Amino acid sequence: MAKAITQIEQKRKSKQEERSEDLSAIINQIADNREVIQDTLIILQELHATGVLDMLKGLLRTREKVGQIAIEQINQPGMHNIIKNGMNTIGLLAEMESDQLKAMFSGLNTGLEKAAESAKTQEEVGLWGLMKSVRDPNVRTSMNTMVNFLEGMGNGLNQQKTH
Amino acid sequence: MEDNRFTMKINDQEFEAIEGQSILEAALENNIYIPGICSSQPDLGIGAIQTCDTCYVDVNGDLKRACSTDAQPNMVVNSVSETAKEAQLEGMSRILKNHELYCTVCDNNNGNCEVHNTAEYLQLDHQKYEFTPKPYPPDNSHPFYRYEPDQCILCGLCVEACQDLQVSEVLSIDWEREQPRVIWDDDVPINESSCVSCGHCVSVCPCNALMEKSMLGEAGYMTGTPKNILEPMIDLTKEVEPGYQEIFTISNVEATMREDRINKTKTVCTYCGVGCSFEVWTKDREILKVQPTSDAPVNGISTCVKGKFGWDFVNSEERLTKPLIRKGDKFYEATWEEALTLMADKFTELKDKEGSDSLGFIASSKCTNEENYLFQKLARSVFGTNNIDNCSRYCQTPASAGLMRTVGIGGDSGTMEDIATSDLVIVVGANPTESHPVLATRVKRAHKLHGQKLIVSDLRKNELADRADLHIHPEPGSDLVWISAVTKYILDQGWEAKEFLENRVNNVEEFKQSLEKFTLEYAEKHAGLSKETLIQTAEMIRDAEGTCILWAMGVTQHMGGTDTSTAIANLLLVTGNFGKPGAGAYPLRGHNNVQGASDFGTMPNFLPGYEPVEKDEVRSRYEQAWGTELPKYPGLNNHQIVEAIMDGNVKGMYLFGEEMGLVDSNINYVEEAFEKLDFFVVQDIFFSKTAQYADVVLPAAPSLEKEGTFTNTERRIQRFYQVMDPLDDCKPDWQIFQEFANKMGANWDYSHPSDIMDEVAKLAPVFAGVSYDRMEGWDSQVWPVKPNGESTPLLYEERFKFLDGKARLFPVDWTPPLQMGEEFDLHLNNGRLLEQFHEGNMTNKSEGINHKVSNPWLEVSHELAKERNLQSGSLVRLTSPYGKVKVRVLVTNRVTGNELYLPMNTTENEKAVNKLTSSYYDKDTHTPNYKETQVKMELLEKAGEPPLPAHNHRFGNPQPHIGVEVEKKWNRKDFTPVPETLKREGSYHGKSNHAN
Repeated sequence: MAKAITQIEQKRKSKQEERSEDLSAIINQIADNREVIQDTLIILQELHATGVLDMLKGLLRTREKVGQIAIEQINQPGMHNIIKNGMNTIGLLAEMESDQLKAMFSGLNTGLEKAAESAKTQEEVGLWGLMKSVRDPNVRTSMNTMVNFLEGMGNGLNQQKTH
Repeated sequence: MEDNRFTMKINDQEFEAIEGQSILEAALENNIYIPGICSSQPDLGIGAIQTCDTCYVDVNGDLKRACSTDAQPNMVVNSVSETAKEAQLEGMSRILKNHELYCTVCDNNNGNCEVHNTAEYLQLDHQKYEFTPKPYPPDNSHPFYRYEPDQCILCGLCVEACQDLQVSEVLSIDWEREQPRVIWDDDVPINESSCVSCGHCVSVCPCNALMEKSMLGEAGYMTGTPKNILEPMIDLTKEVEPGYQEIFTISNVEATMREDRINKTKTVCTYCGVGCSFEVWTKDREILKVQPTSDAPVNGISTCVKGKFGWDFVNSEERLTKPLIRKGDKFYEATWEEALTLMADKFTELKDKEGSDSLGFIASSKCTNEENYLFQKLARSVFGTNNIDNCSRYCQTPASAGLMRTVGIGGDSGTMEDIATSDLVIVVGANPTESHPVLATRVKRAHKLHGQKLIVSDLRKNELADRADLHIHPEPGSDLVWISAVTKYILDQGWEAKEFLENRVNNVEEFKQSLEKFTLEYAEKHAGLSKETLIQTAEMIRDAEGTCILWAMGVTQHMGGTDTSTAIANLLLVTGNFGKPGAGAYPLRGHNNVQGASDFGTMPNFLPGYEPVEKDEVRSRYEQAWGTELPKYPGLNNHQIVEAIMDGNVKGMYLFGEEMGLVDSNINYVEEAFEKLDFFVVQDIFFSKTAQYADVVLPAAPSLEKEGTFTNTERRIQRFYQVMDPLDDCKPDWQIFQEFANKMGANWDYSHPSDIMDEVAKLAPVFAGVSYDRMEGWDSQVWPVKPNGESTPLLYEERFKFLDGKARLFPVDWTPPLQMGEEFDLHLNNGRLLEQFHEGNMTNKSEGINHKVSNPWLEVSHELAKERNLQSGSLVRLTSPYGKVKVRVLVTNRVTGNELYLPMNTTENEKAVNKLTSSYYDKDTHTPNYKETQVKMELLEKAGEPPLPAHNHRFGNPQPHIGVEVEKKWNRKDFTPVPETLKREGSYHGKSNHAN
């Protein structure tokens, strides 16, 4: 003989019970990961000591305002150039043959050493001396490379124009 | 018939193509990728819609659209030549004029964005045409989705889906205006249009122009970024324009990261019997969206409002979360241990004192096959009673019974494929556009595009009736009369399938004689249909290659429901419409698992697979497997259980997933019975009306929180996977049954639903080859399934399900419908509606659905409104001999004369139609005669708030078109065909002149 009823008495866990259940779950997790937690705490201590945490806190709490300022700053012609140039440079690096570049860099390096040496001795070289050095096969190789480079670069520049 | 195959070449790869394929289709079938944004959904309606121009290929030096150019023998195609690439890129550039690429902060960047992927494939690097916003604000008016014109590429896939697949004919592209856009109806806000919220347009959109609101700001890591930061970020990206390839790299990384937090799980819809399957996208418990896919065997990319958007109930605050035990006049939360112990004590006590048959078990057609199987096992083997039934008793048992009498199997003769390809579809007493929406789309599409003929017999001018070639409006409850008269007329004219009858059907002569009284005159008198209408119907059946008859509650919920179902099967037999594609009998199952619940044995007279429990051979097979003795004689059905409670014979009841207290007929009587029970257990996901009478209420888990299978109206068994963990203390029903059985000492040990299915497959011959492994992912099985796993999508090709393999014509007579007396002068029709499912326990947890429909309404004809001085919004009281309700009026031309219609979408007693229905029933199956109700009406309040809000789709103004009408785009002054542009720019010197 059961009439329709709608009242439900919920078995409420007391706040304290719920709390202690949650807490014991967390404590278990901490115990299981003791080393990780300890390391994390050390990192946090250091971050706190150096004031980084404080800074981060401020940044996060004002994230929307800061984000807006930041994006406004980034969204400026100068910044556009930096980004574009950065991207172009990255593109250039991507296209260069690493072996060629390696050869060039190694030449450049030896050249630099030699140049530095001569700068140290502050040796005066006369016109004759310069003419004479053209005869040096090492200098000739270097000059030949330079001329070829100039030719290639001119080629590249002219191609840009026709586009 | 062999397909006509020939060889052709694309990009130097030679392969076989089939005649009739486009180049694109042939390529895709052979795993050659050709871009094609507007071909990303090729099976919507008319085929290639030719709007995106990204699929240009080089055919012998000519540029052609791969999507609309037929593959030819020895054709040589190049899709990667300089010119082809140039043309594809031109197409893409035009698209990006309409679409801003901010992929990384776009909610559609989930790896499956067609626009993103195509642009990336084409190695598009810079914007050729500057992106220009359209002068229209986003339309956020609809509760479930938004349209952002600025992102819309005007491909028209949404239009095609709406016009030619869903066939609601709401969307179109207005090509005439300066800046074309998608419009709803005649350009009204989405929410005020005739949009039925089916979600097709959103599901097929190849970018983020149409999106589910539940995705916005939720899918991506950065998509929730506030607008004041987001917009400058987009500007910045555009300003530095590093080239799109770099943007794609970043967006691909972000899309990949999303995989970590968005789960995509295949599920099967839990609403109607069509059996749509799709992926549910979730972030923890939050449902981001439902994404259908063309792999789904039943629905492809189709959904209805409930399947696409109606899942809020899963996370509803109102979910039951703990077992409840009644003490005095309150329920108290309890542990599972307490609840199950109490149940075991009480049921044991009743069983011992009053006998096994003092217990009743009501199963759920919302729950899985495995759960229904376990429940009947519980009733039969643990408690020793066959008093078990499911809700198909309220709807579809007469249809099954009618088919078992004539052709032997109580299920659809074929699949949706057969319905879609049939020459003639006859719908009797069913409203598929609302009750089986996705199935209805296949009928509407075939009728609109493929010349399928459609006859609808219904009291109401529902949507299909409105579209039909012939709408028959018989007198209520007289379908058997006109169907029999048409059958007789066909026989009299000699139009029957003579050879079929001779070779495959028994009882022909006896049946012919039984039809004697069903003359056209008799039908004219009793069904109120003209001879011309009846003859026209007969002629249409004669002229059709194949006929499918679809029926539902309008046929079954009568005192002669089984007989009318039988008459339908008889007509189909006489005309040879069984055992061939595109023909047959299709009772449309109402719930997701009405078919499966009965299939898996929750019936008083059948063990799983419709094997009679009385048969010793059958029963002993189960006794051996289960190791218990089983009761021999059929038990009580739903209706009889309620009666037996009233008589004091049934004292304990266990019911799960069934709102019997609202959906059974004559609920005053049913509720009285509930009050009489000694012990009553209700298991549900909500605290239902029925649960209010319970002694123990158990919190169950809905489909998204468990695994299992459902069987749809086609007899198709489909697997669904667990999307999320059960909420709180909820448990999957099968686990509850197992725990309860084990409390009773049964010692069951199922660790997964697949274990249960394996047991069924061993025991029930029709499921012999059913296994979870064979239903992985989108795979499904249609029973009967042979031991090797082979399905039977089309029944009776060789044999009917009788010993001699022949069908039986089964003579039936007409049972005139119940008359409640002259005083009750209005006929009350009733049923479901599109937006809310059934009484609404699940769908009414969705704010969006409630926004569209929150109340039932009483449909009243214009004639009656005038006569009774009613208007839309008037409050009336309806009274039948069994009870009364108070509802508001909606004046409409869907009903005529003195016929009313009251949908069942309410959980309030005051508005519940079953306060009015009687306890009379189908004489053969005890299905209540819901559809034989008359009432009297009193006006309580003339003016009032109309029960259906003005923004409901029923007030919309659809605009039929065939698809997106790309010719209108091509005719625009500013349109230049892609090859022309290329010629002008000098990169292409094609031979031919293009018209477009």
